[in-house]
Amino acid sequence: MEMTVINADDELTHIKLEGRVDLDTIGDLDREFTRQTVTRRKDVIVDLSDVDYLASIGLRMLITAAKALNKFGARMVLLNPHPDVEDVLRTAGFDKVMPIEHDLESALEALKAPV
Amino acid sequence: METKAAGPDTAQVPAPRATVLVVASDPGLRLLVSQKFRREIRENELAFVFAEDGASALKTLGRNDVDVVVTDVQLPGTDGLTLLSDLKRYFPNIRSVIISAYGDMRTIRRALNLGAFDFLTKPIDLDDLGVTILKTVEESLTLKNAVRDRERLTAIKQELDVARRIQLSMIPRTFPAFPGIKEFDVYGDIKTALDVGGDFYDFSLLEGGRLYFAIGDASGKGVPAALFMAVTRTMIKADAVKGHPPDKCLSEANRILCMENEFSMFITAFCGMLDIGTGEVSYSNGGHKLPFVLRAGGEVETMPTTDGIALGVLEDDSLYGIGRMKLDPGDTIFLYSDGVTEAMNRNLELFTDKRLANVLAGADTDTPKDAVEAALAAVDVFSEGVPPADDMALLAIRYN
Repeated sequence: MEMTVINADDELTHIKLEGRVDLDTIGDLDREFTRQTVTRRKDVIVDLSDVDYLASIGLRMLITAAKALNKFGARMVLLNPHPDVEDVLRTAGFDKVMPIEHDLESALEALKAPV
Repeated sequence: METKAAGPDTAQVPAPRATVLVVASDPGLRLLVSQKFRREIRENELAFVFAEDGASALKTLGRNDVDVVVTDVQLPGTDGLTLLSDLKRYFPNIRSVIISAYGDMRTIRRALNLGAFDFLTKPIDLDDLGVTILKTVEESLTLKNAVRDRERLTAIKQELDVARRIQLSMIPRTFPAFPGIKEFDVYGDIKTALDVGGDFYDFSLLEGGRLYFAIGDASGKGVPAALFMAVTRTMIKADAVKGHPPDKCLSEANRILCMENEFSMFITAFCGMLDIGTGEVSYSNGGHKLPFVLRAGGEVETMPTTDGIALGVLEDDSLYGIGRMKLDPGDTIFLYSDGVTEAMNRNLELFTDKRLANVLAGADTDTPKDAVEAALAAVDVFSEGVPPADDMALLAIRYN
């Protein structure tokens, strides 16, 4: 499990996650992810294109951050998840809190929607 | 890795890595170790405490967290060998080194028989003293860690046992569940993973000839997940018993779960009611896998989707929709948790909904028990002995 901050400016935090996100791999990622997203209080794009598997602990990390951001008037959008991962997210109904988009342009557009 | 914090409020000295008790009436030995281990003492690698006889040694052991005892055989009062046997009895995890006269093999033998880890002979060779003590300290720390790991493992295992008990106590597991009732058959099974999750299924016959049924999966593992599941299961059921429709059961439980949920736990849950007179089913889904419907003719359908989101995430009563469908005699509703479809084989492939649907379409599923057992057997074959990473809950209801 890896996390890369692709871009963090005054408007946006763009983060990429890679690998499996489950109980065995999450380690300190949880805290670091919160630090890079919620603490900055900016809109967030989370690139999931290289995440193979998202367990409930990973869902919890994302949804917690998204809800906290919403409280600050910011949004989180998920970018390009694998079909399996997207299925998990949509089944749980989490796309209602974190819109799922498949290209950067649509993701940026989705961030403009009111919180 | 220790880092030293600066500032005046660091008066509290961190514990040394290991503590050695030296027992000797001869003050020369005290001087010797203090010099030999100057660097280790300065860097807080080692600390030394001293006692002059066996009785005060035992007192010191009671007060300090000692890892290694180095004792002279000749002590005032009781001798070093007596101290060794006391150590063996009262402090079995402490490692000891005995100091005897050169060539006194008989005493050394007795000391080793009494559990001494090593020995030194007089006159003491400084290098030998250094090597022997350091070696014994390492051995002692290894032992200490092993003991601690075992205790921690036991604690984890106990926690998981508690979680498993909570889980199983929540789930109806006596079948046939309603002997004498001919309108439907129900069968469920749950396989808990090594680190128990928070899966449940539930069913209950309500007033007015309605069968309530539900399945769910709490996020996380262990006791927190089991408790979260238990609370949710009870809340949903309580609303169902009151006669509320399924969407109301879920939105009520969701409202309460959202009120105080600082750890952001969530639970997916599906619940429904079967009118056992007409075969009509109403249901609502909170982010759970949609059940299959196994038609009497052999077709396998996924129940039509409804609006919903996992419980405990968003507080909004309008989130949960209601779905309706009709079962004909011979149709079966098949509910499952994602532990089933995300069971993995050695190539890290998932079992998937599709495989499950195929199994259910192909297997002999005359009774709900047949359907549940066919699914479990197929997962078992598929996973090639890879232990399940998540709980598997399955529940099947056949309308007769």
